[in-house]
Amino acid sequence: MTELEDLKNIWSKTIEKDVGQQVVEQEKIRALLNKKSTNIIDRVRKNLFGEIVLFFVCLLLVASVPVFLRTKEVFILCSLLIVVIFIPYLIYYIKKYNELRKFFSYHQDIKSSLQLVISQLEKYLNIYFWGSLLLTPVSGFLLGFAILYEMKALGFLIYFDVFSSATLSMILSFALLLTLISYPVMKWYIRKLYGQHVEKLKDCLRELNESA
Amino acid sequence: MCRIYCSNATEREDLFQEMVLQLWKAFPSFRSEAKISTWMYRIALNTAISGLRKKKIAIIELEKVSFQIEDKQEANIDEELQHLYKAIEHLSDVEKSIVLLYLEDKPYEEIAEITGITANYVAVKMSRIKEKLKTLIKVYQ
Repeated sequence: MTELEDLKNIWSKTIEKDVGQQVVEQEKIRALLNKKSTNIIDRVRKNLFGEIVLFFVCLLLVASVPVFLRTKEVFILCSLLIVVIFIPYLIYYIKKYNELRKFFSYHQDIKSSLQLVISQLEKYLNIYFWGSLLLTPVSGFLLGFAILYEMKALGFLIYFDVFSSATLSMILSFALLLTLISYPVMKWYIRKLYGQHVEKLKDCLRELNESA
Repeated sequence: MCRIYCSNATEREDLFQEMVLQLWKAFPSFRSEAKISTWMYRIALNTAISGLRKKKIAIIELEKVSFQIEDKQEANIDEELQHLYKAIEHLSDVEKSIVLLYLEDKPYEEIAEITGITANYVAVKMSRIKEKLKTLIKVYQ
């Protein structure tokens, strides 16, 4: 049986031959640089940008509610949502986005780079999970409220007071139920999105740490 | 390197493209603290290990043609080298990186610098990999 040392010689001869045949064309490199990146951090950064846009659209929607429903309660509720949830989350998301834009770990050794990439991915997945979970009761509440309000406006719920505490409690319960359902769904979705890849990277890191 | 980490031509091309992109992006930060080859291996291997790759099935006619051409080329490559490639496919991503650097004739110290583990552990790992490869190659022969 051929020893690995012999194969090493065959390998280097083949590689030398291959390298000799390669012609580096400026146009080819330029075309390569224009193609879509598969870098995991770049993907995450793009997803985060999508989240920022989504949060911003939601913020505009919430801000527009008091324009149509001119009551003190609605104004207070929407202002609270914007100040307590949307603005802090948007600031945090933008900060994370800028952090990811500057993030580059590939020039480090494989072990250090894996540690950094895993910690960034875990941080992002955590933010993504809690951000989405936080939006569920808010959007659920607004959706429930908007449906009931519209139905009343169309004359379907004549004896129904949309602003009564009983109605608001009912909408709130609906929003909380929606959040409870979305918890396992979000967990599954995030795992499907990046979870398996993070596990694969953790396995690689574990293998490199075996000596420590 | 792309051949070791990817099983088909389309994936290899994608990985090569990503490596060029990452090297290009990283070049302004190159500080000459390490040898340029060490730095390039770090970026290329990190790209191969950390990158998000999807298995692609080539169905386009044009790609079929390129596969046929490649298959003919592959047939010409030394049979023993083919066995080596097949055996390497069964290794983990970390083991692949170590065996690749070994085949590229890098000393254990440089392999340690690229992977982030000690030179002693590289030696331990390498002897385990050699054993594994020996068994796997035997199966293919």
